[in-house]
Amino acid sequence: MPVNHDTKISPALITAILGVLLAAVMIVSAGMGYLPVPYQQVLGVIWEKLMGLEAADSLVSTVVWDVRLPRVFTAAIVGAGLSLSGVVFQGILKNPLADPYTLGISAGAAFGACVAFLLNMTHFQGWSVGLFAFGGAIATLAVVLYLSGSVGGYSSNNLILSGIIVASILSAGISFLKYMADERVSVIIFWLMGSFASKTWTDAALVLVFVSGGTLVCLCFGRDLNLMALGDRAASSLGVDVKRARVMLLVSASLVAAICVSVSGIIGFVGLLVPHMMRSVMGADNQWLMPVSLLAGAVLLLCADTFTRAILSTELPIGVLTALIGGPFFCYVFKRGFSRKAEF
Amino acid sequence: MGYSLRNISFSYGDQRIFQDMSLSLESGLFHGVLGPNGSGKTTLLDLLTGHLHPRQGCVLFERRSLNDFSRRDMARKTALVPQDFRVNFPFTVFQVVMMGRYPHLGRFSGPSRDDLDLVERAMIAAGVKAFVNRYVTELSGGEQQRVVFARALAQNAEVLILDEATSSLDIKHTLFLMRLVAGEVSKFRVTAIAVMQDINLAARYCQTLLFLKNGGVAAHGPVAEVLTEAVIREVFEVEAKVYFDKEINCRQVVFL
Repeated sequence: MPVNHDTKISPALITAILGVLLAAVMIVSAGMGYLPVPYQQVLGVIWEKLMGLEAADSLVSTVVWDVRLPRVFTAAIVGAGLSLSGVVFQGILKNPLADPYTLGISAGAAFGACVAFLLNMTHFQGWSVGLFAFGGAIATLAVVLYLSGSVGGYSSNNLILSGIIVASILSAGISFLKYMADERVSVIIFWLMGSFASKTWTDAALVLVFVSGGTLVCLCFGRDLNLMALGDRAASSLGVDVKRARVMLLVSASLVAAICVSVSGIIGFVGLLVPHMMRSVMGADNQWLMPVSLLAGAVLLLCADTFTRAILSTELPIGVLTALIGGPFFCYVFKRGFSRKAEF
Repeated sequence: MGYSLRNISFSYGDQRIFQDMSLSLESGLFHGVLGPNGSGKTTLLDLLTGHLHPRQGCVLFERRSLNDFSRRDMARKTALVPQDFRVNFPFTVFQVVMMGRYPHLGRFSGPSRDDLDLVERAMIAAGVKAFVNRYVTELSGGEQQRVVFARALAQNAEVLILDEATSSLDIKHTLFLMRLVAGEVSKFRVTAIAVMQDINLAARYCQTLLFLKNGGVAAHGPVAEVLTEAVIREVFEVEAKVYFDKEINCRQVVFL
């Protein structure tokens, strides 16, 4: 029985709906917590701040503007970044099971962060952990690209294999550092599980710059990503400089993933799941899949963070929460994918 | 006009594929490329599309070096139907055929009325209109291959390059697609260059045959001149009888 896929909702409409939803969730989330603030008041605080007016209620203003909104923004932007990165990685590696961490970015970042913790670094106004994490992620990317580069460019098998090898070396290194860290091991473990607690506007601005930069590059290569799904030879015959496009996309998506990990620790499954969910809603065209996944990822991670911050009685690390919800969902997608393939 | 290769040498690492090879492929004809496995048939196509560059010598297209064409220019002029088609993502048939128009579109501009018309015509010609909105991942191998064909037709290129494009098709669809290509050649003066395994099929639809062996051209010319028992013995190392079939009015081969 032929299935007609033409009845899908238009991608532009989905994008618009998700955009409105994201704004609404942000405002509602900023009002939720130990001190509930109605959404009109949240909007009031934002208006005051943007217009530079005197705060009507300084306590509410501090809670909403200085404590909650930076966290809300950071969570949303990190969710957006991880999802976009996931779409790009799945596209380049032609593997629906790839995610932003497939190339070992997370292991590199974790290793960098562990080194910073172990050396008890407090330089750069507490930025040393983030900086080391970022450095670790970039160094890992460089090694993986070096290992997988060959005459024909970077093949997806080479990339995945190099990523796995480098990541497993690094995780042995992380275990060693944890062992060395002795009683400070708990700090490392907490960092690795990921958290948006006590994020500042600086964090939000930092991820915003990287994520929007990476997004712009990736959106420019949307059609190239579509063509690369047909195979390198076909893409090349349709005008894509495959080698160049692949490096541009890989580096942009990895930078986005690296900055997200550096700011918030390792948050799994968002970058894997959101692209899958969106693909099943609106198809595989990367030109729309990227913006739609970006927005959906922002909404999803913000909801998850709000849940652990304002609804649970004790705050659960966000990385644990996404894995607990995402893991079983992933199993479902995986299983369904296999049984569907078996039909043909 | 067409292609001309001048003193081409090419190798993968230490493995030599072509050594000082020269040949020309005239435009407006259906060229068949034949040869044993590993004789460089697919490599030749890659050199023609600019996917690979020769180590020595140069490839001329319309009397200009391929290096003078941008990748996008080439994509507007040549369309490739590759051998295997595997897609892991649920693109619809329409989306895949539309990809043939990408080289003609600006980076962010949408398809025009003309683009949509060309896509429509290509889908009708290749017989995939009936499943325009289905996912390519759900189609059978033969259906997928016809979708790739439609995509190449939508490119509206002067040159159609086929890399064993019919190898996964049953005889009905093979004949359908060969006729389609032969029709494009005779009606629109398209140049078709097809790597093929089936010598009889090539003899039937192509106007010239190019036999490759041991890093060079073993025989090249009109079917009636080069399709001989001697050439087949030299190129494939098998004994064969070549006869003229009056029913289909062309030479055919029976292997002994």
